[in-house]
Amino acid sequence: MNLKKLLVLPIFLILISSMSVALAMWSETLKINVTVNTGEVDVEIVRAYVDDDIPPPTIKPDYNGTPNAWPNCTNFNYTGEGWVAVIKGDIDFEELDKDVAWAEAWTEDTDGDGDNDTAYVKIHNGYPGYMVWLSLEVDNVGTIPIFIDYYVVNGTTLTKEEIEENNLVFLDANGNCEPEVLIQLYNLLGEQIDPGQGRESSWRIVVLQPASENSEYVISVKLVAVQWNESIYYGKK
Amino acid sequence: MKNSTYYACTILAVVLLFVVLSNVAYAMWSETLHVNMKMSMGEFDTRICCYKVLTCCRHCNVTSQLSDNSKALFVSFENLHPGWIEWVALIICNKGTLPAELIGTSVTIVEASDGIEDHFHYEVHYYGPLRIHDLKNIRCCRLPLPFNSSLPLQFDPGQKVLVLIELHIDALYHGEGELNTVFAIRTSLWH
Repeated sequence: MNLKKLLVLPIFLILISSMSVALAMWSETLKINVTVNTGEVDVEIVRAYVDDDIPPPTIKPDYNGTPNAWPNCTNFNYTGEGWVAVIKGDIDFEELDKDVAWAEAWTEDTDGDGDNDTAYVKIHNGYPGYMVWLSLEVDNVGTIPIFIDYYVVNGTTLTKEEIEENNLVFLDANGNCEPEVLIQLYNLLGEQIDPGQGRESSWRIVVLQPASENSEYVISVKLVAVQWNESIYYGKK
Repeated sequence: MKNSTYYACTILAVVLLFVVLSNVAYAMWSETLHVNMKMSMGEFDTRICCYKVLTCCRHCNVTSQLSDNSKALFVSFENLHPGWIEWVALIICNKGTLPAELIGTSVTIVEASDGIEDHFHYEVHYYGPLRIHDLKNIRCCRLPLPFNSSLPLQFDPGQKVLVLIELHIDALYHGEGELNTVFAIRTSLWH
């Protein structure tokens, strides 16, 4: 074997080892472990109350409500859950001399998270003119401030501005422009609700003249709560 | 060819970046509360549940029929005479679940001998609300009853109202031929 070829290997090894020594410097690594515990957007209906919750006969008579505005056919929109018209107006009401109808309200936890997320209202033995007040109390039971951005009434989305302008919501079950039920909504929208805080809103529900005997009408209202910094009301005064 | 691949890749990258950023922007947390309302309407059901034609006229023929829905009563009188008086007694029942208000009773001549309309008169008397069950004790000679009520007359579910209708033809009527009439009696109610 050639001597020159034999020398190449040791020289290469020495070179490699010397380089390793050069790289064997002392070092220490600092670590930053970041744990992000996210908060929770969580709201609860803590109280749903109707003012006429005792079955008759009682000494408390019913109330008769009459809207001072009435929608025409062009005001109605079909939402998939019925026809809805939202117009400007108010309700004139008076105490009657009899206790005939009554209503009940209760809350339920439908998603099993320990908070009541659904309120149910049932009117019994209703008749045209019967009016009842529904009071809703919503609390922020999460850890992040929230706004309630929208009401969705039978598929119609309503914002604070729309409610302030027009708050009579007429519901027509069969699309003949003759609404059977009316809800007058008051605002729960556009106000920041911090964790631990709550808001109360009172709505009026009126059975209207076109309502049929022995029938049943169903209304669904959704309240959409979102984290405050992504609310449509964030930054607005 | 190379240029077109480069542009395609650039566009794809921009779109992906936009989609990623958009997703971040819309990933807001939200929760929806529900308010479900159910309204069960009551029933307004009033009807003539009992009636009696009280006649003091022995030669007059009387037939009567209640409509299928018990909302109207048809009474036919034949062989009447000037000065004729008859009474029709009705019990109006509230069989619904809502209070009712009796606002009037209409007596109309459906069919009559010529010229009788101008000489026919009626008067209605209301009593109630009562717990009367039948008209056995109502007799022609004792009418009208005292203590009548004025309209409108409210009566609650389960309650009844007695309506007495006095029908008569002027004693001074001098028509010729037979005197026959068919009356329709309807009560007007409100709730």
